[in-house]
Amino acid sequence: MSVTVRIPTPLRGLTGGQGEVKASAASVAELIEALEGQYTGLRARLCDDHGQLRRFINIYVNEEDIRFLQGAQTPLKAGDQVSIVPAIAGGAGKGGGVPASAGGAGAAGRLPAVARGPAGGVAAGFRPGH
Amino acid sequence: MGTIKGLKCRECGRPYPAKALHVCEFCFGPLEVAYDYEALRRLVSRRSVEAGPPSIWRYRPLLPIEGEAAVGRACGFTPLIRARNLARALGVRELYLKNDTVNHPTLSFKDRVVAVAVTRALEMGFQVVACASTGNLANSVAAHAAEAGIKSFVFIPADLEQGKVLGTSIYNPSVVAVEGNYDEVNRLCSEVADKYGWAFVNINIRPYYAEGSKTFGYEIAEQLGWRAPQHIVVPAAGGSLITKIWKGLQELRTLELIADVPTRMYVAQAEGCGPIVNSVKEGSETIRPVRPRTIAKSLAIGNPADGYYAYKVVKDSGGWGEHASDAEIVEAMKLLAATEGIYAETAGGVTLAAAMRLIAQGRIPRDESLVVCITGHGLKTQEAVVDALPAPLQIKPTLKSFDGALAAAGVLAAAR
Repeated sequence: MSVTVRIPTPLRGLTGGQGEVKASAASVAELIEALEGQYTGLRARLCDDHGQLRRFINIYVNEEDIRFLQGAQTPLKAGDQVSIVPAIAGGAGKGGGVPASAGGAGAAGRLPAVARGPAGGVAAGFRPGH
Repeated sequence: MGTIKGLKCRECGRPYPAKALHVCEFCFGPLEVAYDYEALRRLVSRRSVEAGPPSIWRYRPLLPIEGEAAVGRACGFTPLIRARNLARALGVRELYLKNDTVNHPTLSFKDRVVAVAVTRALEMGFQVVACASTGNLANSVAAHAAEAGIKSFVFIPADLEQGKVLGTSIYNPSVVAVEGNYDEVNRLCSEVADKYGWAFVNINIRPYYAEGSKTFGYEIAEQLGWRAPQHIVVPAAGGSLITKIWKGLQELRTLELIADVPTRMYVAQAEGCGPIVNSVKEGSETIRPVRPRTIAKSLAIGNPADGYYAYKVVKDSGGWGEHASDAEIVEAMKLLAATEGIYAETAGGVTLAAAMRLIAQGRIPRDESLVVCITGHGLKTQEAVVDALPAPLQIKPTLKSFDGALAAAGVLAAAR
């Protein structure tokens, strides 16, 4: 099943700079293997040493968080849109210091489209702080 | 560098320098401050703490700053009240209230985290501080920025209680009222933080900010005579406070300031926004976000950033969680005020109401020590009680009028 996968900015170094790639897989688990085959090192960023999806990475299939579908076993069909979204917005890759100019410094890059959570729920793509 | 070793990812453990970083570059987990506990063992003792100022800064070596407090010097060390009247009303033997309604300067526990965050932000060279807030944080950031003489931007949901808005604007920050809920405000602020290079205390400065909440737990233990209570009930919005109270108690034990931590931690949320309590009740570590609908606006975070960690603290400590309905919240606020003379905001009502459910369920035994965390003052959420309190006796300026009103009130009181 050929699906489109949106890659977040911090992982584009592994995909040759591409923000969107195509892969063929029947499930999310298969997709991760397929992506690893094309882009070495991607699996380790998405899954921990036990093969579990990392807690602070969200994966959406057609804007539904797979945690509320069938997790890594979530089936994929041709044309599905998969989005990989870090749970905590902002931060990764930045210098961590004070920018030289007070306004406008730091290109954030295009943020992934807001993804919708389960029916009636709040968009679960970004994990806010408090 | 004081006692800070650096930052560390809470998920994969990768180390980072102690800069304005909050997300792990490898696994995208949140970063936390890492301390040199060997140095802390040499620096911190009961005596050293007791010799310190009557504020959070008596615990300064345990806080993530390099130098001295830059702002908020009178913050913390709030009263721990032995609540005998309320205990009698609830049928429990040993009840305490940790009373941050009187925290300095903005009457909520947020002053603890902001005093630390603004001090650290200044150390790191930031010139503007900011936050996304459900109200208490906005008050505190604006106040501390004023004290520091620097600019602040506070982002709030546009429907916030008037007291919280006025209680922010008075300090002359820039207030941005966002037409959306808190989760949407926070999402926007991540983008603003990236673009403008401001110190968002609960976003890019979050690892330092969060540590301030440990003082809530330190003080409870110190004020109980250097012991941890058997039960603590804590309100949760983003979930950070309960995790840091737990961390604080564990640190005191590591440093041998207290003997052990037999404490069970309980998380309290509103029925209309209770995702962490839902997880506890379902035994599921995956937090399912909700759309908040509750009068407890300070706790109205549908997608709590520290939800998983709060869940874990509850599980690890053998605690539980409970909800409170809007009606229970108001009744609890009234009960607390009428029995102990403490006027808590809606979050305080949530916490007491949840504690009452847990006591009634037998989860919190009636003869064990219990601390209920009161995190903010009721003057901030007056809307919640405006229709719930009796009107004054209205009389003419005559003794006869008063006598008559008193008699009528007496009749009514007897009939209730």
